Amino acid sequence: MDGIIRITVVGDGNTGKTCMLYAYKDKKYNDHHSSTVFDSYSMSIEIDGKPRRMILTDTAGQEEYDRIRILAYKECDVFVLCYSVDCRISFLNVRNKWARELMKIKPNCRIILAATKSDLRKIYNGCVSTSEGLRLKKEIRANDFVECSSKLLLNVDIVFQKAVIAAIHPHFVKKTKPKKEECAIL
Amino acid sequence: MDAMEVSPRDSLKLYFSEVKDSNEANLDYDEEHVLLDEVELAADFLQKAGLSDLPKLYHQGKEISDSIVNDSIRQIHLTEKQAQTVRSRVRTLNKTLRNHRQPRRKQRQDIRDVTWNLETSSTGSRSRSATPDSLDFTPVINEDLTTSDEDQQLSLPSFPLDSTGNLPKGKLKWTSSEPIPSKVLSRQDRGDVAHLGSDNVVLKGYHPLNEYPTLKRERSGSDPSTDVHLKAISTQPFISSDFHGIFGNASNLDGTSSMENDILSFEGLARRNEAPVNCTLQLENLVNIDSLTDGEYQYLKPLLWVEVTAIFDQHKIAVVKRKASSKHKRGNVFGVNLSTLVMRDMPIPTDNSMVPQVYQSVIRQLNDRIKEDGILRIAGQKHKLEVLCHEVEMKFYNNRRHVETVLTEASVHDLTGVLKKLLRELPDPVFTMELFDMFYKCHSIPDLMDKIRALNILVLMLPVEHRNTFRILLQFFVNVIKNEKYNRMNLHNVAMISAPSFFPLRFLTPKGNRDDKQPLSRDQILKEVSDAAVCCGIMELILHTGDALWMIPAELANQAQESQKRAQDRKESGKEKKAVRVKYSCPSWCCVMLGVLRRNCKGVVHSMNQVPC
Repeated sequence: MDGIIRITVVGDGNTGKTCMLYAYKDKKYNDHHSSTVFDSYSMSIEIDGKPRRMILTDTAGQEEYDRIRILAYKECDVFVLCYSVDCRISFLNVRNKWARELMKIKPNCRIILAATKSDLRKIYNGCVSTSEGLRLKKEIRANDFVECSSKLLLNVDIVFQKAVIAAIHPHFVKKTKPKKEECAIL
Repeated sequence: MDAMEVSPRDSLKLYFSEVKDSNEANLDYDEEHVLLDEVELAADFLQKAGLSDLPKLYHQGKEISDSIVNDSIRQIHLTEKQAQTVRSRVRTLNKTLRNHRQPRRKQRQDIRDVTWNLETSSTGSRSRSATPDSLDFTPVINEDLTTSDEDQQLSLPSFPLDSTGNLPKGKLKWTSSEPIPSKVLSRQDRGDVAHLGSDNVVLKGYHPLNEYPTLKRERSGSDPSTDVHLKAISTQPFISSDFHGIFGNASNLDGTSSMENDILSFEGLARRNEAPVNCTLQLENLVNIDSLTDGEYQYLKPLLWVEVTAIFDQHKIAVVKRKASSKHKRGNVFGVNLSTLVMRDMPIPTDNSMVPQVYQSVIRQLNDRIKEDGILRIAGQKHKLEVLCHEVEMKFYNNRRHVETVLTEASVHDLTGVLKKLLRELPDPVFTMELFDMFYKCHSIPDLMDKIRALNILVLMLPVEHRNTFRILLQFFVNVIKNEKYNRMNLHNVAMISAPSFFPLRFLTPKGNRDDKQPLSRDQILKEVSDAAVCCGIMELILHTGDALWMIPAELANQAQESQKRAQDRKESGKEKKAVRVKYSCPSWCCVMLGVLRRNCKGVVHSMNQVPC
């Protein structure tokens, strides 16, 4: 394409898509609870010393805004598909709703599966585990899987790095294991 | 020329693709609704305003004289502003009639006329040669000038054609029947323009710039590669309550490169729309619509209709009207109109709230669990939601108790899913096809007070099932906002999520705009996003105003009372006259009548006896 990398973030409502984008671009956690309908940001990044332009699109999780969201799919290179570890419903909807929707509208699209709010594992029991996430990644044939936390600014950059890698190396699927939370800082 | 090159095979292919297209269009737009043209609108308006005599005259092919109009206006007791609205509609009808009588001269334009216009518009100062041909047209010009003058004298402030800035200079030469004004407008319209360009339409009360809300973005710098953070936008103070301020005109958009178009943002739009809302309706001495009897409402309705049209006319906003679709989806609960549901509830009478039982049950459950975090916002599990909906659909009328327990056991997010699905699948949305566009166009009323007033009247005009259902929905939403502490749902969130339920996007985007095969233009996303922002803004205003929307404005209530009184007086005097006439026409029968009357009311009979037989 025209040298622009387009990344669209999708996933259920209240999984922290907007927060993740904020954490990535502003490097801080924003604790506001407002719903998004459609939002885009432009950023410039350097890849191999060359400046590239990246457009991040934030979408609505609610099915009311299906139409607008689908409009954004057309021009997208990589999807970041989110679920939050504390909400099993959002995890199940990845399989039942989101993966299907993406495949239907854009077959062979590149997907990075992102598990958000990983800091909540310590607070709640019964969160979605890492192995479940990996299994889901295989099932929906996502290119990669990352667990991240916007609150701790943990692994958020890696989500987008992997998305960029998937976008510029279409045939190169990284096989290395994602960085696990246990070995991060704490 | 092109037509000649098309081979039979190609034309067959073309034919098939067309058939396919039209089939698809039929599938997709099952609920496509017929748009009325201006004349039908005018006639319909008069009918609704309780002046059904006037369109009747029009249909008989008679012109409606001023004296008749004045008479009827006096009869239903209208204010001057309202009367003007009526008069402008009557003028539309009269003009149509006149044009029908002399169609040739008015409708067809001579090719020489066009060249004349081109000349003057391109060179401006060049004088045209006084050929006999061009002289022939002088009388036509004069006539058009006089008619348009006449219109402007009588009517509302003239149509601001000049604001577009690129009209041909000889614009007075164009008769109103020519589609020129629509050429000036951009082509990505919502189909609203078609009827304006059609024959015999008076281009009054139309404001093209407001029609195409497109966003004009402020870039943080001239360099397109700089980071555009929304923060930068939101920190800029935006105080004006004027919605159009943020919208540039459509041509701006076409000029920008695709690079710049990439940054679209609903949030930026929505944030700019946030106007401080500190006007509220005064509630003292107002009558709630629910306390009105059917008889009283009957007198109020025409007034509401005239009043809201007057508001739109005043701000020169053209409103499109759609006819409600007569097609019905088969279903028990989902995809069934509110009025049908109310009818179905009739056999088991529980209350007379005129709200379908399904809505009542779901909302009752939700109100009990209002404090749930992220209510409305978080989606239910897709599979569970489907099962629940199926259960409700199949068993609501057979096994109510079972459904109630299922609803009680369901999670809050599944319940909100059911509610949203119910609303989304209504064939006739809560705001009704008829008033839908008016609700939508409320956003272009610049004055906040007028905006609230228009919304208020529109809510009062809804059919009773829709009005009451909307009321319990609104009360629920307001209740959610009141519990913001617990569920973290503020006004903006609720408005954003509820807006598509009341303004289904399928009604906002006309046929043909959605074609999955073609790559989507940026403009389209832009349009959808700004539409969503508009709906969200209206919803916020509605949520803010809340229950006050059900109050009847004091002056309208007075007018309604007065017209009711007059009507009753007329009826009584009418009865007397009738009795007298009967006496004249049929003496023997009248004797019997007299006998009866003599016993019942002596006064009347006494006066009748004095009439010479």
